[in-house]
Amino acid sequence: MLGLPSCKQVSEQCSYQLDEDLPMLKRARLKLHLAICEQCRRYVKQMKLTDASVRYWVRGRRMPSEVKQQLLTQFQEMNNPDTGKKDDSQ
Amino acid sequence: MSDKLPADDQLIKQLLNQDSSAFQQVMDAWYGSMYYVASSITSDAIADEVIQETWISVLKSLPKFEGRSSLKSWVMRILANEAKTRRRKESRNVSLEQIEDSWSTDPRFDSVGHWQTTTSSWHADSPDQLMQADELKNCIQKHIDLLPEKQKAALMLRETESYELDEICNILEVTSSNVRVLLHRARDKVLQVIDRFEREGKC
Ligand SMILES: [Zn+2]
Repeated sequence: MLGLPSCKQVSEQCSYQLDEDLPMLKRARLKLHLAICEQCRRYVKQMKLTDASVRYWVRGRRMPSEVKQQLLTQFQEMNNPDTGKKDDSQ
Repeated sequence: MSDKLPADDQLIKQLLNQDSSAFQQVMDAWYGSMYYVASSITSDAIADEVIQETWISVLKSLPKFEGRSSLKSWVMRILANEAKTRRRKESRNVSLEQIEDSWSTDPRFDSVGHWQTTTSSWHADSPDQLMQADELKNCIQKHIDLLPEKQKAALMLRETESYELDEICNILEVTSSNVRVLLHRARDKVLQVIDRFEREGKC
């Protein structure tokens, strides 16, 4: 029937589309399917929200302070290879 | 969305000028991305070590950075290489055939690929609203950890917004059609986790 994708295919294609554009014809058929299928419209919306939520969750992780402290120390030592002569003018 | 960092050339100047607060800022801003990349290629146990090593080699080679890519993608590439050299044995590797098998018999669809069940309607339509509950965050964490190795790694690499698809293929040594499948299965899994949480209020 018009070569429209099945709901199962739509669920895959909407993920592919988050990473790169589908070829034009596929995109048009996907749109047509969505125009007539409420369940897929909802799934596609939730797929986008899921993707954004995982990104949000990734960004929310905080650096443990001891790891940060160690790196800062290394950063300062790196810039002052001669640690006996530390610049403390700040 | 933005990390609120200064522009690359400014930031590089600050780092080369021994500006500790700029260094802190950039470590904080990129930590989440770096952590999930490091841990999905190696393991949680050594992720912070890999991040530390990465920063050290970044700082050492910064004077030679030519700016052909953004500073972040350069750092993330160094990180991925660092992590790859310490990649663990893949304990929970699931073949793509197995992934395909379970997809071909997925009970949510009937034999012609129409939905048999439908997802519920969710209470929020933005990530910060949706992710307010700590239980949901923990639940997502738990299920992402349970994903087969490569699915998890593909998802994490992608969602840190730091790699193009072909870079992910190189890191994971899979083809581009495989990486699409891995990403879909992983996202679909997280979607189902959120959906169950929205319906039942529990993990
Ligand atoms: Zn449909």
